[in-house]
Amino acid sequence: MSSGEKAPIVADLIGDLDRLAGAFADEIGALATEQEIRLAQARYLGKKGRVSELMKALGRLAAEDRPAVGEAANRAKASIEGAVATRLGALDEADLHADLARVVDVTLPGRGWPLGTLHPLTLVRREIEGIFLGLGFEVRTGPWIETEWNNFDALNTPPDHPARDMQDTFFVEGGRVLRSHTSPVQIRTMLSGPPPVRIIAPGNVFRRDDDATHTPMFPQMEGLLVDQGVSFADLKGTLLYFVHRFFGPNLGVRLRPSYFPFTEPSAEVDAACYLCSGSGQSGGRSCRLCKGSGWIEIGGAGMVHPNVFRAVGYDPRAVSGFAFGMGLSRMAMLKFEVDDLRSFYEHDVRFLAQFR
Amino acid sequence: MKISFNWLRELVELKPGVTADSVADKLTLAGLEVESIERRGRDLSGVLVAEVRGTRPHPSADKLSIVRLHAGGAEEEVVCGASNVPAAGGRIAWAPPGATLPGGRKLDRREIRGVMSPGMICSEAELGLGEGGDGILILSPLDAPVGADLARQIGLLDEVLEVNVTPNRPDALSHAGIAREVAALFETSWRLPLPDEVPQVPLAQGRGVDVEIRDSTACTRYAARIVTGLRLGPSPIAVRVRLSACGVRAISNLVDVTNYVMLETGHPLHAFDLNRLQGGIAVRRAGRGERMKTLDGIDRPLQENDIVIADARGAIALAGVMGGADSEVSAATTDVLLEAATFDPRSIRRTSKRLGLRSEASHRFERGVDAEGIPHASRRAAAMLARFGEGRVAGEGIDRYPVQQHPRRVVLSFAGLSRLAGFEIPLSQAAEKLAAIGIVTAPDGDDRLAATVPTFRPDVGIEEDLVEEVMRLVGYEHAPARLPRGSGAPATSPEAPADRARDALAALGLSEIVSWGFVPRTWLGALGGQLEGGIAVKNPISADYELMRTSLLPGLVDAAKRNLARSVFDLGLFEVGPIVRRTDDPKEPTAEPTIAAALLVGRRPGWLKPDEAFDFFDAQRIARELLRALGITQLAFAPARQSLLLHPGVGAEIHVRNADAEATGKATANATGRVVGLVGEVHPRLLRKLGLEARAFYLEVTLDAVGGERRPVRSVAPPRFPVSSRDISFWIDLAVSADDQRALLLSAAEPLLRDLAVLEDYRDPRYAPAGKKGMLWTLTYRADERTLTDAEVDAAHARVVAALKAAPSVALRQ
Ligand SMILES: [Zn+2]
Repeated sequence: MSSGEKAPIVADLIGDLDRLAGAFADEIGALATEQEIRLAQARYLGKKGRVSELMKALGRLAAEDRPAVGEAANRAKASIEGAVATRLGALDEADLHADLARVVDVTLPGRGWPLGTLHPLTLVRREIEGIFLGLGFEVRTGPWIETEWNNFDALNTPPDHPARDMQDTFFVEGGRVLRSHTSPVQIRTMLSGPPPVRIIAPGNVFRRDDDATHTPMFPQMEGLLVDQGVSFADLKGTLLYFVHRFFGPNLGVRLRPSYFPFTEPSAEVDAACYLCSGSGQSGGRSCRLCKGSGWIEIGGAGMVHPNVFRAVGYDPRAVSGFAFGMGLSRMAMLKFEVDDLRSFYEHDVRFLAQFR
Repeated sequence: MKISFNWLRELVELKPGVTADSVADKLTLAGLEVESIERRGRDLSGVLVAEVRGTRPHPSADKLSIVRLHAGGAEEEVVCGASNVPAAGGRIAWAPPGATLPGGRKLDRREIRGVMSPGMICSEAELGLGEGGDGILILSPLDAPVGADLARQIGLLDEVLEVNVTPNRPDALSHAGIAREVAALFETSWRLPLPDEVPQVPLAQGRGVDVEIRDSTACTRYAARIVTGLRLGPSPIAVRVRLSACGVRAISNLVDVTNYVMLETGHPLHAFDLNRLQGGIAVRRAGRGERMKTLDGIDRPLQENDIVIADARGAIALAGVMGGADSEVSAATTDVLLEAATFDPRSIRRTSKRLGLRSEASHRFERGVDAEGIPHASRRAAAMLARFGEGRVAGEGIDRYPVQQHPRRVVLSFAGLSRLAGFEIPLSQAAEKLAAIGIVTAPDGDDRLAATVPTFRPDVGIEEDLVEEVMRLVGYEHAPARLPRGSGAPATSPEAPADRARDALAALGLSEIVSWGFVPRTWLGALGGQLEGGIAVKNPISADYELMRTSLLPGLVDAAKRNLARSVFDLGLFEVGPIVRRTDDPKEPTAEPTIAAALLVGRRPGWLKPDEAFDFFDAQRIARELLRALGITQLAFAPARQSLLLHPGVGAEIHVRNADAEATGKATANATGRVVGLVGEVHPRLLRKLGLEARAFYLEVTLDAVGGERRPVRSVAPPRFPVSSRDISFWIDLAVSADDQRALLLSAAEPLLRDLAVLEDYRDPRYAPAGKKGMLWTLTYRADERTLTDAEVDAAHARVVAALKAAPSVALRQ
């Protein structure tokens, strides 16, 4: 506009500004995106927008007219900004509404890799380790291939001793054997340092047996405690503690005289049957787990034989000790109610998947 | 050992209410574990001893006869199919109507080919007495009075205890030995049956046989007795019943007597046919190159350790193990020499083991036979044989006993007893318990007992042995239970790295398996070049357990095969355990490193992208995460083109970068370091050899190579200033690996470049130039102390791009 134009009429100007606000409201009512709305807003309120265009006339007004026109301009501006906010709010609400309409089938499986599984023999080993770690035992291990001396002679089982038949042994080259028990770890430990000794020795052992109730390799866990004044009562207490932790708090333990060349006195260890609480009866009939006896065999134990101490250079007059051993596959069968020993070695993932 | 409860009751005074079960319980708790109780003849009832009055043919059947008999009452006529019916006056077992046979068969009055038969006449087999042979059981007048209940009369109703006798207790391998224990446990008395009174005749002139022990380490005592004028035949039925209960087959009165006395006293006996001996006999070790035909007809080479009984011609028996064919008794034997002896347990064990001839006799000799019991056993057997065979014991017999066995003296102190037991047992009580099993004691000062241990207990030699005897008789249940004093020092488990690997692999979605430590030869053969490294088991049970495993791969492949066979096709399996390798060190000729290994077969878990197969990068990711769990983050993967285990193009060695890089955590371009494992697709040729019909991906990490303790985490605060990233896209020769490209990008040594990662490796031949692949990397820039401006980032990025462009094969893409 040129400066030669005649001065506008104030009332027209105010009317134009008020109409502008109305026109804007109509315009954005049809707009569906924030971008379009912002563009429309700029067309009205921007530097070269329609409101600014009308306001250029302000300079030519009489001073007393200016406040009324300014007020109308501010009113139009506020109305336009209000319309933008309202429209944007409505759009956002519509978006939110649309978003909330999404539905998933929550019963479909989750994505990605499920957790894997540890072998039941690993689980049971760890549980038993944990029990004895709590009693201050430490874990020691040893090799599969052993000397005959470590496996037999040092354990008071000289060559041609009938006790060697108790464990039908595999031989390898160099006159060495696949260890038939983890007892050589006891020997290695005692040879490596003076008493006291407080260890458990988990690991696989090998015997020439292969039938429904024996596998040629099986995991064992042995314990050894050597100190001054260790007695049969300590052995019994330790085993009772183990049974309480592993099978149940109110179950008893029974030691039966037995024979192992490396212990004297020796004992078979029975735990009260956890299924029938030692009664031998379950649901009015003979308990299927303990076959009605009320006891389940869990291992062997005894006081370390003086000849074992002599073999490792300990003085049997100065120290005494106890040792115990158990088959971990048997423990796992009892713990997880596994009927078939072979299932541990058949690698069937449908069996293994249960141990999560 | 099988113990007949009827027999036991004859030896021990037991109150009427004492049952086989209560005896079994006490024995078990005293260390003689009763594994089972067999109830014999339980269904058998109503069978009577009957006398035959006469026999007539069956009117309409050739093979049947009609036997007229009575059992104290009226005469009856019973149809019988046997051909050995005795003449009038003979005694047989008659099951009348109402009787029950083993197995529950009930007898009735029944018509057989037109003749009514009240019940039947029984054979041994029908009475549950083993095979028995053809025909009906014929009883002698000695066996049973007419009309008696047969089962009760001859001991068919019995309970047989299967006692698990541990190898230290040779004294318990007999009914007498068990009787001694039972008497002690029930605080009652027992007796050893005395030899029968039988007619004795002087030895005829020239019939004496001299005995010479030439090696007293081989034989400490040898007794020989001669019985003449024997009539061989079956033993009395009661003896046969007892042998049968103990699992021994009845053969003839001669053989049965040796077995019966062995089961009663624990002394094995052997009978030679006197008329087949030439000259005196000698007990000696076998000579070099000596041979002997044993009574099973096999001609066997002997070894110098073997003990033989020899006559003038040579060896006539392998002492304690098996008789010889040349001196064997036969149906024609009338005169015998009965041997009762002890032989060196070790020699017997070696000989019987070498020849695979383990018998009831060798079992006892190996564990130790009591020399002091020999005269009784010899007299008892000779007298019994003379009675059953209607013969005569000739002469006094010979007893050679060059090395007298003495009872051992062992001291038991109150202190020793309490120290081991952990509770106090008065010495007076200990003395009482020991006396009950034949160990006599005398006070030796105030708090010691001097015990005299009889020769039948070779296992009791030191104080600890006496402690066990006292404790087991007192009862282990009386020992208190308490936890040991003191505590151990906490120590790290040597299993810790293996367990950490197990946890990581399970968390990564794999299932743990446990496979045998030994494997078939074919498995190692398939691996190529590993057969020589395999340590062989010298006495495997089968070819499945021949060689110690040198790799976990075949075991995992086998596990996969088994699952595929069960229609489980998608598998992630792992195993952690030792392998066995030969070393160069003669002192430690084998090493057993612990390996963690995994195998992937089939498809990835999940349902959104069905049928997406596992590939190399799944295995590589697992290897990476496994090593991260073991504390190793600075890894490099180098192609393993020569591997026999992995596909030549899809396999890598896993290197751990040098220790500096590990310690500082700074990325370096240097890929050298030690090899700790392998990862890749299993070589297709190997899969064919192992018979797995699916692609498989394998990884293994040697845990010992990774090192021991995981170092503690040293945390750093997260960066305070933001990062900016720029992408870069270029074509490059297919042969330039991602690691090489990383090295190119890092060669700019740009300090603001903090991270770089591959976004894409693009090889579609429709769009990529020949021999090239398209790469997209994203590079991250950051300064520690300020926010970078766009211009700074652009400048830094330009320097990195310039370094990349210096490589000849690179063409930037827009
Ligand atoms: Zn039970």
